[in-house]
Amino acid sequence: MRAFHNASKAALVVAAAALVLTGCATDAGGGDSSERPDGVPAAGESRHIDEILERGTIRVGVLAEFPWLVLDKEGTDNYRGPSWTLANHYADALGVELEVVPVSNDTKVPLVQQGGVDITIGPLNETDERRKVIDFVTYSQSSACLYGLKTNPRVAAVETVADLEAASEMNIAYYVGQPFGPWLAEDFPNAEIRSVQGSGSDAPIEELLSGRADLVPADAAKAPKLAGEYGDIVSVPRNCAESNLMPTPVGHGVSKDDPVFRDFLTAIAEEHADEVRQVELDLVAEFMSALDS
Amino acid sequence: MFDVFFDYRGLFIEGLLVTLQLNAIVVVLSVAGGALIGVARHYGGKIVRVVLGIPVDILRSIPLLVVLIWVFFASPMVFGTRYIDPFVAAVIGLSLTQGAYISEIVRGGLASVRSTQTRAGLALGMTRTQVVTRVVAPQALIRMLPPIGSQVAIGIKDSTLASVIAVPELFRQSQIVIGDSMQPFVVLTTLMVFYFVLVMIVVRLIDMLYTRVAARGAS
Amino acid sequence: MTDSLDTRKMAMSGAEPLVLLDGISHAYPNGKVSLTELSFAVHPGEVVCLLGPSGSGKSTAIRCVNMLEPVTAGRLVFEGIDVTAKDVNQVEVRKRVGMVFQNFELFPHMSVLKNVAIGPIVSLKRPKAEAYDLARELLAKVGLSDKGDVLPSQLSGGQQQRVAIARALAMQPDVMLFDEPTSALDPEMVGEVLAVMRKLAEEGMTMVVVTHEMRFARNVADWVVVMEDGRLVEEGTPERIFEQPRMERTRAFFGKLEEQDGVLPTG
Ligand SMILES: Nc1ncnc2c1ncn2[C@@H]1O[C@H](COP(=O)(O)OP(=O)(O)OP(=O)(O)O)[C@@H](O)[C@H]1O
Ligand SMILES: [Mg+2]
Repeated sequence: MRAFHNASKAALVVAAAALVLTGCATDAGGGDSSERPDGVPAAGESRHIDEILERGTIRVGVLAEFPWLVLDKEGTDNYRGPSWTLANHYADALGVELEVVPVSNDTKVPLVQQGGVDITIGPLNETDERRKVIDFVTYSQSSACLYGLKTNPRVAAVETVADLEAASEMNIAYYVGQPFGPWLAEDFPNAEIRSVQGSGSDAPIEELLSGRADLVPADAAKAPKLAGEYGDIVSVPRNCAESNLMPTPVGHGVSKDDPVFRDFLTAIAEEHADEVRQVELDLVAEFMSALDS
Repeated sequence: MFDVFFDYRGLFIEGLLVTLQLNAIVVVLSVAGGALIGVARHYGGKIVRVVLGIPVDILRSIPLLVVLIWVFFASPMVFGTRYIDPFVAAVIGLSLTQGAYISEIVRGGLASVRSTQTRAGLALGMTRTQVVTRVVAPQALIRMLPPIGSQVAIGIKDSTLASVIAVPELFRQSQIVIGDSMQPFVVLTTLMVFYFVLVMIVVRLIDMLYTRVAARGAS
Repeated sequence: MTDSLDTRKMAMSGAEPLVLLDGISHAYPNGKVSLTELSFAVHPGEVVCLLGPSGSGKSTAIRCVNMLEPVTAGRLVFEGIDVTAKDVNQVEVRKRVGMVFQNFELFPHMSVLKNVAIGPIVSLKRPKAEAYDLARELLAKVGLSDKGDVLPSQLSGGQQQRVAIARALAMQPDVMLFDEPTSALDPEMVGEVLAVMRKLAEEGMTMVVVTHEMRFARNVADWVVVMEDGRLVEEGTPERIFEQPRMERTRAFFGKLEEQDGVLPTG
C-alpha cells in the first residue's frame, strides 16, 4: 500500500513540475519601454507595434533556409543571412530585442494569422494563396532550377529550358507543400510530375539517387550547396544564377489586419535594401569559396 | 561522412534532450491520466463509463498529427493567449492520445482480474477500496505491463510527429540539419539507429520487469 | 421417521441460532430469481450441509449469508441482529464470517504466508508481526508450515485449498462458509481438504458447507438442508435425510447422484 502511494505521489509531483517548467518557458520576456523611438507610429495606430513595445521583444518565426536564413551550427537561436539582417534592423528601429520562435512548414503561415508571432522571417515565397491570408514585406527573390544526375542520360541530354520543354517522359518529383506543382504542370506538360513526402531537405534528392525521378525542382540559390554535397548533380539550366524559371518574390510574413505595421517594416526594408542584398550575395560567395577550397 | 554530426552537434544534442524530456513527461502524464480514467471507467458505473468513453474514443480515432496541430492552434484560444509553446502543445497532444490508449489498457487490465477475486477480498472483511488497492490493482498492474510497454514504444516513435509544430526534438533538428547539409541518408540512418536503441532499451526494461513479476500475475 | 432420527442437538440446547435465514429471496440483476422464501437456521457449533442439484441456488444462499449478494426480501439474522437493516455495516459482518471458495481464490501476487496474514493486517489492522505469527500457526495446522514463502501458483490444488481455509481462519471467524471446497480438486486431493474440515468440525467450528461429497455430509453434518430451484425441499439430520427422505424430489436428487457416481453413503 505504502509503495503504491509513494509511487503515485512521485508521479504527480513530476507531472506538476513538468507543467510548471514548460509553462514558464512559454512566457519569457516582458519589461516596459514606454518611450517610443523616433519614426515609430504613435500608440494606437498599430496593434503589433504597441504590443512589441509593451513586451520589449519582437517575436519572429524562424525556419532556416539557405541563403536567406542560415542557421549557426553551434547554437540554436543564432542565424545569419539577409532575412536575419533585416529582422535586426526592425528590432533596432523599435528599440527591442529579437525573440526567436521556431516554426515549421505547417505553422509558419498560420502563426502569423493567429498572432503567435509578429512576423515570420523564415523565408516565404510570396504565392497567391499566401497573399490571400497574410501580407508580405519583400526583401529578395527566388527563382527555380531543376536538378538531376549527370549519370542519367536523359538529364545529360537537356541543357536548357527549351531542351526540357521539348523532352518527353521526364519524371519530375517535388515535395508536398512546395509551390512547384502548378508551375511544373503548366511549363512542362510533357513531363510526369509527382509530389512526394518531405524528408526535411530542400529538394527530394533521394528521388534522384534512387532513380525514381529524373529531375527535382529547387530554389536556384540551392545550386552551389547541392553541387557541393553531390558531385554528380547538374542543373537545368546549367547555370542556375541565370535561371528565370518561376520567379517569385521572397518576403517576411505579416498579419493582414495591421497595414501600419506592414508599411513601417516595408520602409525599413527599402531603407536597407542594398545592404540586405549584399548580405545574400556574400553568403553565396562565401559558400562557393568554401566549396573550392 | 559522419562529420555532419560533429558540425551540427549543438542541434543534435538539443534535439536529443528535447526528445528524452518530451517522452519522459508524456509517459508520466499519460500513465497517470490513463490510470485515472481507466479506474474511473471501470468502477464509476454506467454514466461515468459512457461519458468518459467519449473523449477516449475520439482521441483514439483522430490521427495524432491532427491532434498535435489542432492543440497547437486551438489551445491558445482555450487559454486566452495567442501562442502556446510547441513543446507544451506536444506534451498536451501526445499525453492526451497516449493517455486514451493507456486508459483502455488499464480498464482491460482491471476487467481481466476475475470478479471472484473481489469476492474473496470482500469475504475477508476488506472495504471496496482495500480490495481494489490490495487485490485487484496489483494483479491488473502486472498484466498491464506488456501492453503499456508497447504503447510507450509507440509513443516514443510518434513523438517525432511533434516536428510538424516545430518542437525542436531530434527528428526536427535532423530535418533542419538535412536541409542545411543536404545529407539525408547518413542523418536519417543514424536517426533510425537511435530510435531503435531508445525503444529497445525501454521495451527490454519493461520486459525484464515483467518476467520478474509475471508469476504473481497468473491466476 | 422416529424422533431420535430427527433430533437437532444444538437446537435442543436452547441456544439462539448463529445465523438465521428467515424467508429470504434473491434475484440477480438480469432478473433471474435464484432464491424464493428460503429459511433455515445455523446454530453455534453446528455443521450444516446444503445439498441440491446444480443451479438450485446453494452458492447464492451461502453468499447471502456474508452479504456478498443482497437479499431482496426476508430477514437475515446474524448473532441476533437483523443485518438486512439499512444501518448495518456489511464489512463488520463479513469480518465475523470466513469463506472458502470452489476455486480457492488465493491472491496470486502474494506469498502463501501473506495470503493468510492479509485479512488480519488489512481488515483488522493487526500488527504485522502478530498477523504473521498467527499465519504461521495456521499454516502448521493445515499441514503446510514449509510452504509459507512460495507463491500460490506453485502449490497443488489441495494445498491451495488448505491455504484458503487457513486464510479464512486467520480472521478468527464465528462461522465458516464453504462453497463446494473440493469440487475443483483432483480426486486424490479431496481427502486432505476434507480431513482439515473434519478437524475443524471436531474443534467445534460452526460451518455451512455446500458440497457434493455425500459421505462427508452423512458423517460430519449435524443438519442437512436440501434445496431445489431456489426453494427449500426438506431439512433434517443426515441420518433422517439419507435414510428416510420424505420428499420425492430429495429421492430423485439422490437417485441421480447414485446413477452418476454411486456415491450415496448409506450402505
Ligand atoms: N451472476 C449471475 N447472474 C445471473 N444468474 C445467476 C448468476 N449466478 C447464478 N445465477 C443463476 O442463479 C441460479 C442459482 O445459481 P447458484 O450458483 O446459486 O446455484 P448452485 O446451487 O450453487 O449451483 P452449482 O451446484 O452449479 O454451483 C442458477 O439458475 C444460476 O444460473
Ligand atoms: Mg454453486
